[in-house]
Amino acid sequence: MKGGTLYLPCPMDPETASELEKAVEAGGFCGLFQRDVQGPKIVFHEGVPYVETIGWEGLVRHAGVLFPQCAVRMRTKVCRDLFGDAPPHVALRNTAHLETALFQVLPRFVRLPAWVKSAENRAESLAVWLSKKACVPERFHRWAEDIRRQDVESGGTKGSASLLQEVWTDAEGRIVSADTLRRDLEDFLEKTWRESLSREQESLRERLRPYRHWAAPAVGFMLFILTRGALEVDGFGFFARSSDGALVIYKRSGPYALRDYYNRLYLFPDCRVAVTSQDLWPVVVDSYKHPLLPRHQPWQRICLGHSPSGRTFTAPHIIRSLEDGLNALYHGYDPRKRNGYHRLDHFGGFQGEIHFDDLKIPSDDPRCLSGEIPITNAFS
Amino acid sequence: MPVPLVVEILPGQAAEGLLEVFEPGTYEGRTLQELVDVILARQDLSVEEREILEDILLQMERGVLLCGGRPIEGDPLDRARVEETDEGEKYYYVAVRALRPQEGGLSGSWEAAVRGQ
Repeated sequence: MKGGTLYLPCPMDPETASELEKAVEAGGFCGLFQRDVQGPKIVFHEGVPYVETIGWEGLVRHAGVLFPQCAVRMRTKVCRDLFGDAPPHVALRNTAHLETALFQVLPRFVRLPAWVKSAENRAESLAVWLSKKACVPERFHRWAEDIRRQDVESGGTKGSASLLQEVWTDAEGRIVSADTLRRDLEDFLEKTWRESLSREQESLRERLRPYRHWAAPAVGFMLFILTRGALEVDGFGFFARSSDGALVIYKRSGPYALRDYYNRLYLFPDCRVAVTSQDLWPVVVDSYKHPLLPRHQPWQRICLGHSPSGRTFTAPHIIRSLEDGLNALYHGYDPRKRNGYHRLDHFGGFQGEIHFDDLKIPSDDPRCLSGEIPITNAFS
Repeated sequence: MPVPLVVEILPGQAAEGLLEVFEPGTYEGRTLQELVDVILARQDLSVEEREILEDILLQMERGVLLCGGRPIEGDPLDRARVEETDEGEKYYYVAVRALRPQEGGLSGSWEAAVRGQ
């Protein structure tokens, strides 16, 4: 190790040895470099030539990529030391959006127990109730307690530069064996992971700060939801979309039946009607077909016949858009007008054309007769 | 054995609405529409219930009242399902939804609609 660069022993083939001997007799290698000969630098240590390879800093910085198996091993070790299991990481970045979904939109679509509705701090009580409802694993309560109590571990607060400097300074001017090099790299990777996880912990601590006076189960639930990034309770749910990080809030339609012009019934399966933090136009999350959807695919906008009334990501607008989307699916198709992109009673003519023959059920289907599955466009 | 009838009016797709318990002897022979009118005419509402009532009335402006996707008419027990309290007492339950009009899609042909996208 010299000047922050790793030098490896030269390959000892006869030709190289002969050239090196001549060079040494001619006064060392400095002369060669002075004549602008491009090539690796060679230094001598106790008579053995060493050839310049790569910078120690670059090697250490990219150790995780260069030695992925080692990196995974070290990460697992650090996680096990710190958390005993998978580490918490922030999945939902926008806490304001999360709070809107949890504390303002969810109560519209989920029936809450009386003690939650009458509680002094309704948000806290709701979080306690949801922690039971969502069966939050015990470790989240433990982590929440730890995060609330502990400060960042002293080893994890160092900046990346100082950590790197420390490792580099230790190695400078030494003859480093392969084992030592591997050990140093593993030490560095471990420190890096500890640092990264501590930063993540700090970020979580920052996000949990507004709830620090809440009951332990409520804080545990908030940690659970911030790190998991998804929740579903009684057909209402939300998740962070992986492609763009948008928060997707949805309500399940449940199965329902529609009637066509000839009074025949079609059973539509459950689907998730959603709005996102980037677009309040209601969409179907799943691959779905319906007279008011242009195609048979996921993330289609539901045709409302008008634009969504709200444009800002606030609870009243979210609720309104979700309900408009659900109402359109349930009640928007008028069998007499046959409005929409497709007619229910249209027979599929050619391949690829959307038809609903596969959804047909008998008019005396017991599920519809008993009211288990509502016929939602029978009033028009 | 006669059991009470609980009628709940829910605004839009809400999970909770305005409900009234009709004891046996008070609902027999009355239509579901009549029972709904009784609930909507209540004057002894709490603040929370008043908010729900306002929401229901807002939805009903040019909207409809539906029970199981159908207009509310006839005997309420035809639409009722039997439920139980935590203490195991049985009762009839009817949910009525107040929905604002929502007609999706375009009235033209599929081709015209797709071109409009």
